[in-house]
Amino acid sequence: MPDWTQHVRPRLSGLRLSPTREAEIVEELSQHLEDRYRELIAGGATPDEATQLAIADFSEGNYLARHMAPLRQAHTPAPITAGAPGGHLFSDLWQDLRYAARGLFRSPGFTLVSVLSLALAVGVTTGIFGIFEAAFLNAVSARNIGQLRHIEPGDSAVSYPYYQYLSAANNPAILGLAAYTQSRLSFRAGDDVESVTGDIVSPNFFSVLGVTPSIGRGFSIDEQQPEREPQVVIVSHTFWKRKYGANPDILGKAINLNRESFTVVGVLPKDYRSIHGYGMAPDIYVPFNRQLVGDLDEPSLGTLQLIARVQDGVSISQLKSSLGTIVQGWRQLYPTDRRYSDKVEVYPLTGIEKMRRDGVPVELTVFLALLILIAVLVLLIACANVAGLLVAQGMNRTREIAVRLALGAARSRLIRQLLTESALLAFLGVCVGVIFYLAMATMVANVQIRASVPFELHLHLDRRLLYLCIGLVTITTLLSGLVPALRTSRDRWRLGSNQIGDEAHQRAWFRRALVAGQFALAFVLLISATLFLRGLAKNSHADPGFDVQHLITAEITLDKSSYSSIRAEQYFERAIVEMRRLPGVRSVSGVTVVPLGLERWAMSMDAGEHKVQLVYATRVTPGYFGTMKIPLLRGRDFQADDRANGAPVAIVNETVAKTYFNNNALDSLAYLPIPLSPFKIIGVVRDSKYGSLGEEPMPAIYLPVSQQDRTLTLAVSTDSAPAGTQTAVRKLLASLDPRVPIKIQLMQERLDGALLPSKIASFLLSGIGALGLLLATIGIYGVMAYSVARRTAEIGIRMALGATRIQVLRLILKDATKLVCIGIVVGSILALFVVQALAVALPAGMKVVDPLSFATIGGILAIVALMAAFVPAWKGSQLDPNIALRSE
Amino acid sequence: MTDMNTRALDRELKRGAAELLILSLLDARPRHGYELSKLINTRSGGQITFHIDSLYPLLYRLEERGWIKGSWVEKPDERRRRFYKVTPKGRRVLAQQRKTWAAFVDAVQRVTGDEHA
Repeated sequence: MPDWTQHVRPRLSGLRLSPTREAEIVEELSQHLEDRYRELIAGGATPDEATQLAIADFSEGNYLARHMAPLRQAHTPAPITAGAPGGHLFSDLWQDLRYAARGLFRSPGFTLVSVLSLALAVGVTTGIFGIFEAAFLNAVSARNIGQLRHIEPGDSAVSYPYYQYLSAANNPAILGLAAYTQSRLSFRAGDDVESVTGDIVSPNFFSVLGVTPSIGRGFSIDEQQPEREPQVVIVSHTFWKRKYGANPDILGKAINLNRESFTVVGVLPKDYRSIHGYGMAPDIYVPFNRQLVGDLDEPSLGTLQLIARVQDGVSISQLKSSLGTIVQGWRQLYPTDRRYSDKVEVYPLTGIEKMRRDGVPVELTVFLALLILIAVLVLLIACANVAGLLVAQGMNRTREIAVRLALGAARSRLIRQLLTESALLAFLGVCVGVIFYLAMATMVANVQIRASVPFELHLHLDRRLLYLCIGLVTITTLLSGLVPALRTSRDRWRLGSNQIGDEAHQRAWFRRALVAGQFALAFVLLISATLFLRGLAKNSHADPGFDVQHLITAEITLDKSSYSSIRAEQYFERAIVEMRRLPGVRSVSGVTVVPLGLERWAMSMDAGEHKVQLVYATRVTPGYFGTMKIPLLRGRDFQADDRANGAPVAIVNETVAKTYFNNNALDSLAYLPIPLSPFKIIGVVRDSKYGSLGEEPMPAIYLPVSQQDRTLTLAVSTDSAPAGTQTAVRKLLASLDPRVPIKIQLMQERLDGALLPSKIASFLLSGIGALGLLLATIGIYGVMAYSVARRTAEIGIRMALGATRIQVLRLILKDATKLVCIGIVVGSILALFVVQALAVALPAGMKVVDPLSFATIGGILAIVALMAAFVPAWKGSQLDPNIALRSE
Repeated sequence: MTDMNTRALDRELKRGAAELLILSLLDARPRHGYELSKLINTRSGGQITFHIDSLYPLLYRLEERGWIKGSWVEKPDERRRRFYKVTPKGRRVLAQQRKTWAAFVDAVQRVTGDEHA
């Protein structure tokens, strides 16, 4: 019987059949030929004839291949020799991905550590970016925010009549013009009166922003009239939750603000970011109203901020020039109103320009820049970790790669394959990192800081963040995958080449450098964290220069419509007198700007021959220094008749007296621009803290309270712990006039508030520092475990030649010690530079380079590293020399 | 009609007819390739012959389309053979093709019959 397969197989050779399919076809066709042959034999043909005739069934020319060619089975891709050049981009990619996924699945420990390392780093990076974005970059909720602009005609906040005038001008460049101003209102529920923050807005405010309340409606245009009844209010989501337990039946309910009844018509969305930015979250919004804003119709009294939705395609300069004409019109209407210039300022709602205009302190910017830098450092550590693990893996796979190269895999294809693996890791890491981010966003959203204005941050998972994540995947893929891929695929095809001893050492230098680098970075992070913790400790124990323990502050805001300046003065006098009678109260006085709060009043001053650029100022009532226990060093305190008796007087602090008056300040004159007039210095008091606990002694000047002051904080000093007196103070003030908004706080609480930024900074830095240390520890454990595994044969030889277990242990630990020492030295050098940069955000006079911190952190790092290295080292020293020798 | 179009029609007719033949024969019962070629040859009185290099590619094409399905059947003391049977989809196609073919033949007859009427 002829071998029919010989006749069939060559006819199929031109096709790309899978081996199995080809075998089937060969079998089937051979069977056919055999059937034919048997039939011919049975019909009387000789075997040769039968063979010839059977084969003659094939037409001339290879028809079989031509007929088969259009079939799908004739194009089966070549069998997978991973890394073999396939030439099909997507199928190769798919093959790489499947291969990578199988590889990751095979080493779950490696995968878990790598993905978690990356996820933590990505979580930190996106989190910090998210906070930065929520607080600064994209801080305002609005539709198509690019169209919105802040407008300052006349380079100033404007009055309500001015706003009406601008609205009526119908500037074609402007699609909508809204106004708002911030105010403090007293919210009454039962007997409780609470001071809340509110924005008083034009009724079109939300429609210009493009924000719709999540429950109810926005204000309607007929709510434009300031005297309209009933009055309406929209509340923030937080206020609704805090005061009404998120009751869905809130709509139509009446709430009491400044003793007036307001109907709730809407609740803002949960993630609403207010127009003020920086996470400031006012509790309520009401349309302009004469009860709430006194002197609403006074043309020259400017308190309103304007926002405009600008027609697309209108440039800033076009907008400015069109507004310029309108602004000039106003000046013709009110020629005596010198308040407004002809200048028109236009700037965006968010971003750097807005931050600059709002005077965001340089410390904050530095701190945020630092945080971003730190996030990048942590990400680098994580990438180094993954790169290290990948290199280790790659080395373990030397043989696999050698086989694949020998079988014809292209080097570029192998690099691509290894990069796919790191890309898959990076992708998984970023996905888990985003989950961390979302968890953190939920946490942050639930944190409300009740400062003088409530703060909340809403972190979103938006397009920018998505771009960031894509960027992170790419960067981590390249950072963690490229070097290992290049290394493992280079000259590594000596099949079965065993590297022991020094050769393996040389090859592992990259991993070792990575680990040393990680320790250096962890060192820098921990030193920065310690620095902030030390700053915090210094601040916590800093003497503010006044009594904190026994002070209550009660901030009182009188509105102009109900309180003329005479009535206001009487109110404050009565409040002080009656409060002094309360049991347990030692003394009471008033102050306009309480130290260590968010508000500051600063100006320039001419002192003798000196021009003082910045002097902190505040107005106080007689007896203030006694209440605060700020010692009067020279001269006298204010007296009740100082204000009435013509010549303005002032008290300065020691710094002013020393620096500008050569300690001869008494009876000298200081010129202040309010209005420009000379103040006679009648006393000198000891320095105390004004803006922050960490500040250097600042020049400060105290003036008597004026009749114009309608917001005054009463400082109440008590004999014993002040908490018990708080209620009595609240009741007394409520009995004087229940609709006056009052904010009562212990001085200690204010102090805690002042410490909050340093606390947050320390917390963040410590957390990130610990994370960096953890990642570096994983790194050193990995490198030591790998090194022991690689050196098994060497250890076997050493032990066979008589080395003891202790000697082996020492040998391995020596290696780890060297790495850590290099890391610490490099880290110290880096840290020396970093701490200098950090000095800006730290309390004045703090020693930034602290040998003790450097030594402690170095010690901790060394101990942690040696502990991590000890486990694999111990395992190495316990090896049986026979088994170790056989391992190769 | 141009020469090229005649050739295209010729090819299509042959292909359509070949598919119809195979499906019809398999509709009765499963058969293997050699049996199919024998049956076609015998029943057509030697008029139609399928060569090995056109029969099997045709079977594989029909199989790829899901009209027929081949499977190996082993019998004692015999080499295994690949038998083909019509799938439900193939049966639907067959019904359609039979109708089309009948209509075509009918049309051809009517055209050619007129000449002799």
